[in-house]
Amino acid sequence: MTLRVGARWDDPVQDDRIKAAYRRGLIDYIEVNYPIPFGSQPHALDIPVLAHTSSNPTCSAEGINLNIARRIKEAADETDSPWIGEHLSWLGTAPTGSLGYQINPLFTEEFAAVTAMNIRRLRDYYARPVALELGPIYIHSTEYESEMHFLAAIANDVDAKVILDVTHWQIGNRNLERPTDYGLSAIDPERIVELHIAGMRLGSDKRFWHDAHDLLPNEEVVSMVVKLVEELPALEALTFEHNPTAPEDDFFKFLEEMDKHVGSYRAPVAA
Amino acid sequence: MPDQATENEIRERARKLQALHVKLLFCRATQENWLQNPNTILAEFNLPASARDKIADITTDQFRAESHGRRGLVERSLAKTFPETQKHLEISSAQASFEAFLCSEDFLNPKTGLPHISGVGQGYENNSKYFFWLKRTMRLASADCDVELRNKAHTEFATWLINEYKRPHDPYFDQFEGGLYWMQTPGAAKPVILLSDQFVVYTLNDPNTISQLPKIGLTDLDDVSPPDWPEEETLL
Repeated sequence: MTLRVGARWDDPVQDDRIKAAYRRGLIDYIEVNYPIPFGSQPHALDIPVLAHTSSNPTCSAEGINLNIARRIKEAADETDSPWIGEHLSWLGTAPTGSLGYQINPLFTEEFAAVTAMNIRRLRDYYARPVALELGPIYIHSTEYESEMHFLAAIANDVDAKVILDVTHWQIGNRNLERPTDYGLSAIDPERIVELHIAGMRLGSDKRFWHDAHDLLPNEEVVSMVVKLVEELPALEALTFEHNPTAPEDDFFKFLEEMDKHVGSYRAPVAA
Repeated sequence: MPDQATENEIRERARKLQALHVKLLFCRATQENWLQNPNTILAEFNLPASARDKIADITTDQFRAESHGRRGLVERSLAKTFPETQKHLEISSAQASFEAFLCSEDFLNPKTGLPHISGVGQGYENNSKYFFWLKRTMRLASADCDVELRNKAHTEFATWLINEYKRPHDPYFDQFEGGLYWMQTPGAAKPVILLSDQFVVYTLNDPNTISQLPKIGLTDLDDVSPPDWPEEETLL
């Protein structure tokens, strides 16, 4: 298995740190979160791109509007992204994003069927593989054993790849008071092609955990990622998600740390 | 894939569940009514009583945490854009509360807002939906409106529009180059308030100067409304 390590790209203000990390051999690609700011050109960085989006409501009964899907397809075609990352989410109650951010769907049979239909159409439209990812979870599933089982069922049904966001997974397990390894066995390991890693924070209620891309991943998440890199048979990519405005020193420090842990799984980096 | 009739039936059932769950996440009045009489709410959403088991238990700490987080994102965004407007509303009126906005149809309808600066069409932010909802709810275009509220809301929304214009943007936002203006009191030709794109506020009383504003390409904020944006195909 050859692993590629990448960093998420959200905004042109990241360009300098991204270019430096690529030059230093710390990353092999950028994962661009589409749609991107108007007029920005991450493709011009001349770094391989993995296409990703959190702006399609893949689980919505209303379907998916082509406003965003078209832009993602064009970018994925231009960069020849091996797959397109998609979140299992709603964005409100419309085919487009009425709210501006994602909402976890109800994990029920209706939404499994709807999601499978949406993903099949999206994949046919993209004419390229889709990799599915869950957001951070707070509410227990009402029909499936868990959101991980829902993800597994959809991926199996539509023959999709899976992005395991280790931070989201651990946030869900903490928020729902489950063991740290809960849910992983539900997913066919051959489908997991990418891991996401980011920081998390405890809320002011001292009870619930939240995604925090401004922070570095904690030790528990790092050690889980290292173990997963060792064990997952089809893993190809590990993406570090770090806010464009978070400290640049943290960005490099973490990539250097990950390189010590998983660098031996990467292809030799050209000088 | 199911046949079209089966797909339509599944989507219709899912559409109602989705509408209810989203409403429960954001609208406290719906949450309270759900706790009092879930069957009434299910009927309002054209759902059978058996659908109750598909909806999460909203009394759990987990549901409260998710609801609090989702609402908080909207609340923080609006508080950042409309601080003075919201202070004024707290003092003067409960009719246009944050709660009322979250329970409104406008909140969930992307077509009640402006196109997003990224070029993806309407929706994907709440500031413009909130402004147009507030303007209608508080009748801010009427001669007898609360002029202080009108000017606070217009100033803060104009500031947001200019800031959006200054970022990389969809060409729709080009119309905000130079700034925006509006009548201080609807129906009264003067004074007119002008917020320049350097964030300087001018109070204009000279009719000749006021008449020049549209001619030099400035936009009257009262002419800005959710556009009839071209419909895109939906993958259904």
